[in-house]
Amino acid sequence: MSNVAIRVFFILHLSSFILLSTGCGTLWTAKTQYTGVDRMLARGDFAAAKKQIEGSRFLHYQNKDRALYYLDLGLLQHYLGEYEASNDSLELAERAMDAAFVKSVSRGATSLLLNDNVLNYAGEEYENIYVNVFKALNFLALNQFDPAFVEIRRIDEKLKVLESRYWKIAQKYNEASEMDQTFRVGKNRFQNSALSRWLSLLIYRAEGRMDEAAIDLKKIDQAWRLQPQMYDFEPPDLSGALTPPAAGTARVSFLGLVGQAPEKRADTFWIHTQASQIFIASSQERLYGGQQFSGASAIFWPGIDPGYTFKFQLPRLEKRGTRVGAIGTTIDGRRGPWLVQIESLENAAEATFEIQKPLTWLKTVSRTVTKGVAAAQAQQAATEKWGETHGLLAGLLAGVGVSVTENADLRISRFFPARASIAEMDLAPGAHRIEFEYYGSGGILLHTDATTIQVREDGLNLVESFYLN
Amino acid sequence: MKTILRFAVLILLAAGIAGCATKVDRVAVDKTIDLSGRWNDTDSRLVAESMISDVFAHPWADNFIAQNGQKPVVIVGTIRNLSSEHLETGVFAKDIERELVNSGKVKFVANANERTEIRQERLEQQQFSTEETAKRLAAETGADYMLKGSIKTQMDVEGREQVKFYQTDLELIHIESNEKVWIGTKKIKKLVKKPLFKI
Repeated sequence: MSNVAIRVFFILHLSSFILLSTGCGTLWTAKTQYTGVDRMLARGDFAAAKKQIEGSRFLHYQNKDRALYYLDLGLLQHYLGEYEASNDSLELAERAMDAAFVKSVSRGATSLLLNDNVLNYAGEEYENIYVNVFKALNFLALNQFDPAFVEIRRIDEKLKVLESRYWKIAQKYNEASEMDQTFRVGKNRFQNSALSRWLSLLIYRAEGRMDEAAIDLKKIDQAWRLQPQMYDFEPPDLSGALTPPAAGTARVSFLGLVGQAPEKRADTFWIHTQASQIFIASSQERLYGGQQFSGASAIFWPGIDPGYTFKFQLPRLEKRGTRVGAIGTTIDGRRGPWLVQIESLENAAEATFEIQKPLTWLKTVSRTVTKGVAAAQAQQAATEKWGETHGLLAGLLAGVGVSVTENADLRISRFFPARASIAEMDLAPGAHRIEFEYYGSGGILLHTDATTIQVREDGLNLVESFYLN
Repeated sequence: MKTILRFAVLILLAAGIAGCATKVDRVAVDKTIDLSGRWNDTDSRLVAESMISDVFAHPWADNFIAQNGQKPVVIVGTIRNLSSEHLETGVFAKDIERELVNSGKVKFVANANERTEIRQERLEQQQFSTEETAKRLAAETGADYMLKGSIKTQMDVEGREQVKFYQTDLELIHIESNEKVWIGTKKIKKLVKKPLFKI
C-alpha cells in the first residue's frame, strides 16, 4: 500500500473514531428541542416553551451549544418577566459566544475533518448584538438605567467592529491560500440600530439629558437614510419625541415585538465527475426537516478526471416573518396609538449573515474537496492493491464517511422576534389598563395582550408586549 | 508511525489527568491577576490610590480647616458607570471613602443609601428606646462637600486585539456654593490580546 493510501485510511479511521467517540449528535444540528414550540409561542405559553428547553438541557444541547442554550433560555425568561434570571442567562450566553470566538485547537482540528457543528457555538452576529438589547430591556424593567446604558453602549461598540472581526481571519486565509484572487469577507450593511438608539433616547430623555437624546434622534433618522436595505419600511414619526409631555401628563412608550427571527436550513449539493462530464444535483431542507430534491444538471467539461464525488451542505437563512400586520392599543377602553415598525431583526440577521457567509463557503468547499480527493485516492489505492471489488467497497465506505460527516451548522436561536414596533402617548400619572391588539394582514384580531401599568410622573414609562407568531 | 501514536496517546492521557483536578491557590489581595481584560480589583485599587494621593496634593482641606476651624465633612454622591462594562462602582467608592477617613483630614457622613436605614432606626428609637439612650432627631451632621464622578470607557477592536481605555473622573463639590474644589482624573489603558487557540 502506498504512503498516500496509508494516510488516507488513517484519516478515514480517525474520522470513524472521532465519529464514534464524539457521538452522532455532534455531527449535525439538533432541532428536536424545538418540536412544538412554535405552537406554544403562538398561544403565548412561554412557560411551556421554557420547560421544554430546560428539559432539553442535557438531551439536545451539548456543552458546545451552551451559548445557544442560554440564549434560548434567557429570551424565554425575558418574555416571562423573570428579568434578573434572564440577565444571568443572557450574560452567560454573551460570554460563551465571546469565548467561542477563540477557537479550541482540538475542536478546530476536528472541524477540519468533520464539520462546523463540532465547534463551540459563537452565535450569529445579530444574536451577539440583540442579546444586549434584551439585557437593556431587562435592566429597564428593573428600573436600572446605568446598567441598561452599559448594554446600549456595547451594541454600539459591537456594530463598529462587526466587519473588522473577520478581516484578520480573511487575511490568514489569503496568506495560506494559493488562489489568484484575494479572499474578502462580506460587506457589513448594519452599522446603526434604530431600536437601540430609541432605547438610548428614552433613557436620556428620562434623565433630562435632551442634547444627548437629540443626537439619538438624529442617529435614528440616519439609520433609514444610510442603511436603506436594512430599513426597507416606513420610519415611525418621532417628531414629538423631544417635546415635553402635556401639563399634568407623563410620556408613555410602547414597544411591541412580533414574529420569529430567521432559522437556518441546509442546501445540499452533490458533484460527481465522469470522463469529461460533471453531474451536479442539489436539494433543499423542507420546513419540517428532511431534504427536497431541487434540481440536477450535467456539464460537459473536457479533461476532467473521473471518479470524484463531493457532497457538501451550506446553511441558508430563511426568514420566518410574522402573521401580524398591525399592532393597535386600547387604553382604559379607548383607542390608543397604533405601533409603527422601528426595527427588522430579520433584516439585521440577514445582513450580518452575509459578512461571514464567504468564510463559511470557503471552509466548506475546502473541506469537501479535501475529503472527496482523499476518498477517491483511497478507492484507487485499494483497487491497485486488492482488485476492483475491494476498491469499490473502499470507495463506498469512504463516500459514506464523507456524506455522513458533511453537514451544515444550522444552530441559531429560535426565540428572537422578527420585528419591533413602537408608539408613544401622554397619559395622566396613575394606573392605566393597556391592551395590545395584534391584527393579521386581513384585519383579523389574532391576539390580545392586556396589562395594567402604573404611570409615573417622572422617569421612564416603557410598556413592552410581544406576540411571537 | 507507532511511536507517534504512542506519544499521542501519552500526551492525551497526561492532558486528561491534569484537566480533571480543580486547583486553588491563595494569592495576595494586591497581586495583579488579569484574566479577561475587563475592569477588575487591580484597576479599582490603582485608581483609588492615585485619586487619594491627588486629592491631598491639593490644599482644599487645609483651606477649609483654616477658614472654619474644623475638618470638612464629605458625603459620597453617585459615581456613575458610563462605560460599556458592568463595573461595581460601590467597591471603588468604598476604597476612596476608607482612604479619606483613615487620612484623618476629613469626616464622612453616611450616603443616601446608608442613611435611610439609620434614619429608620433613629425613628424607632424614639418609640422603643429609653429617653436617655434614644438619639435625637434632626441632629445629623450636614456635609460640606459631595464627591461625585463617573467611569467611562473607549474601546477599539480589531480581530483578537482590543485596546481598552478607562477614564475615571471624580469631583469634590461644595454643597452650599456648588464650587468645585478638586477635580481628579485617572486614565488606564489596556491592550488585550485574545489567544488564537486554546486546548
